[in-house]
Amino acid sequence: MNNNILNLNSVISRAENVLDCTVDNEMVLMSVTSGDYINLNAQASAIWSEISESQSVSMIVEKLLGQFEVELEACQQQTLDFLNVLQQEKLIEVA
Amino acid sequence: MTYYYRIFELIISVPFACDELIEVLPQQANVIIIYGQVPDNLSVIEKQKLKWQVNKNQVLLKIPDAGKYLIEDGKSIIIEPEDNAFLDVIKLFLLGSALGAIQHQRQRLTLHASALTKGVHTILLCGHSGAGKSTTANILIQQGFKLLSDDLAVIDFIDGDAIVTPAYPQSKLWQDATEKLDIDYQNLNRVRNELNKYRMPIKDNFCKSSKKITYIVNLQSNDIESATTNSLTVFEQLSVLKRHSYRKKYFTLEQAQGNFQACADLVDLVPVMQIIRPPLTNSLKQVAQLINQQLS
Repeated sequence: MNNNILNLNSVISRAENVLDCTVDNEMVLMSVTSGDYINLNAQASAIWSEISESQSVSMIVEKLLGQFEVELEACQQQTLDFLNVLQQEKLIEVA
Repeated sequence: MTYYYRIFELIISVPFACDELIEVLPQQANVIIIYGQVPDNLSVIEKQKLKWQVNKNQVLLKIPDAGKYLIEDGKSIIIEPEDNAFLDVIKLFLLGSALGAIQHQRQRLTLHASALTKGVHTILLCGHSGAGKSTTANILIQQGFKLLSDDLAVIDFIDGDAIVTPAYPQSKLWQDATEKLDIDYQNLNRVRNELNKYRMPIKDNFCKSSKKITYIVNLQSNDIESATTNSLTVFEQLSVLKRHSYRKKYFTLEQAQGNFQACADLVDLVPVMQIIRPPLTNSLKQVAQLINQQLS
């Protein structure tokens, strides 16, 4: 179970079977496998945009710090929380 | 002999007559349909089930009692009919699944919906089989609407508008019968009789030109007292359009991604709302009334 939890060094990318779209100015993900939808806020959309190619979590955090007014520690925590949700939903892959 | 028709704003050339379609003069066709040999398998397979195989540029259909169809690049369909296959049956799958696959390959959003127009309004009516689309469409036609398509809405995005293209002037009851055919095509003679019986040309009430979509209605039958309209959240609207996308199972991953964004674009341009109606058929008059109220 513990290897499922991501840390700042984890390298992640989008899973293959995920569709995304922008509707009403918000990004929505859909898992082809489960048919479930997730809608993303601005920060989450920025994270999703970052991982069209493999990225380490710390690299993503660094980019977010440039885009949003947020403290490093909070950004790290929120990013990891969100990515852990995506991983549970099998929407990302860990290298 | 080759016949030429216009359907969904495409010129198609067909090796047999399709009386229900809109005939045009011989010209360069966008989609060429011929009889020929079709392999049993595609050389590259991205997705498959018993009756179909798909890759980026090709769809192969293997349909009992009709034959094999190879659909390529959004431009050509090769049909290898089974021995003794009825022309009506061959045509049915050509105008349904095969032409649907052509639209996927051309990356055009295709919904399982009726399209009707009156004045400034053009509506799409989507719903599962048995929801009452066809009957409602026929009631609306009696009230002065013209039909663009009975079953398949092929949509283009042009200059920031969503445009639905005309199919052919024939009404749904034929399609109902064909859906029975899908389930029960061992008993062809009976079904063929039914097809003839229920075929309903609607020449005078057909709209031959593409129209800007102004409204989308998702029709559902449920155990309630009287028909009611529901507003849907953006995500529910998106999910309705996704659900009623035509022949989703043939999508490659790339086409599924394109379809998803196209559904989102349509939600951004056109309101999608839901009408739930009681199971009884006479409730469809209420449905038509609710639609007219929404439009006025």
